[in-house]
Amino acid sequence: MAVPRSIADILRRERAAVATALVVVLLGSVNWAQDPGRADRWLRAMLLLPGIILAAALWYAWGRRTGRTGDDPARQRYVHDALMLGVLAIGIRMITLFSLEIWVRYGDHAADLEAERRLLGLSTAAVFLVLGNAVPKILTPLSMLPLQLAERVTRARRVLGTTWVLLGLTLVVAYLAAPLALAQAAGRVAAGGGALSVVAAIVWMNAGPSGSDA
Amino acid sequence: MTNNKVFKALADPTRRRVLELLREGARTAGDLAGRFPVSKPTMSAHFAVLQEAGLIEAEKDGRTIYYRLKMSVLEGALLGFAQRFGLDAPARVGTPKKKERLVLRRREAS
Repeated sequence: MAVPRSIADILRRERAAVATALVVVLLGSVNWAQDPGRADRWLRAMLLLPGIILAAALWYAWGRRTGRTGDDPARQRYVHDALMLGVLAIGIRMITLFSLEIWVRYGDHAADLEAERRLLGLSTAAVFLVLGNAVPKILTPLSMLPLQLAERVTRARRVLGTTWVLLGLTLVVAYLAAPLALAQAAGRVAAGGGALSVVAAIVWMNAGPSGSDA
Repeated sequence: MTNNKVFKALADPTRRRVLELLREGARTAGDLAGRFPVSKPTMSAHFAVLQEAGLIEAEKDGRTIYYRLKMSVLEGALLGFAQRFGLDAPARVGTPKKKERLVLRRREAS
């Protein structure tokens, strides 16, 4: 499948990323209305994700007109998929933080502190789940790597994705059901495990056959 | 809906077997087709359904077209679930459905 050809195409095909950006804009507007003193912060945050999506659409359109972004659809698709995944991950984090800002302004701070921490933990879990689930779907194009290496990278991504999804699920259970101290310890273990899995995947990919062998 | 397409793609044992084979690594259409006792048009229709669902991707490497697995963790889990519990659509032997033939014809035309 090629990269989207227009803004309308992005709106139709990248619904999750677009919906995330819209929710961020909506929550940013509410925060702006409640706290106009930090208007510049809210405005920057609201413009970030739609800006990335718009910039991507303009880049594709410019590339089609001038042919300067290269004519390899697989490579373009690879960059596009990674970009939209980034939009989703940043969006989830921003939605949580914006929701918390609104909540803290209305709620009882002392009573909400534990809930706030649990919500942040669940947001981290959501990022693990979304990224982990989608990472194996991003294929390294054969124009970038020889087949054997590209497949090795894909397998590493699959193991990495599964690890992140399992870590995310563990965090969901911990932040929903366990005492906060235990959940936070699980969060630290998950963060360490996530980082370690990335390092392990990179080491494994580099320990494989070189491109010339493939 | 993509979800419907994924469920439809996973409901067929031949397509599930194709996905299992691609889990081991990228393969050419001919290599895959040679492993099933069905005609090439039928296999092409199966590939088209899997591609429509976004579970596999065809990519050219030099003069060869390779099919590569493109499954998320959730889709992988669904495949495992379907394999284990045999979520089969009613068995269909022989020619592909009219809709699949149309997809195939459109693909060949483009």
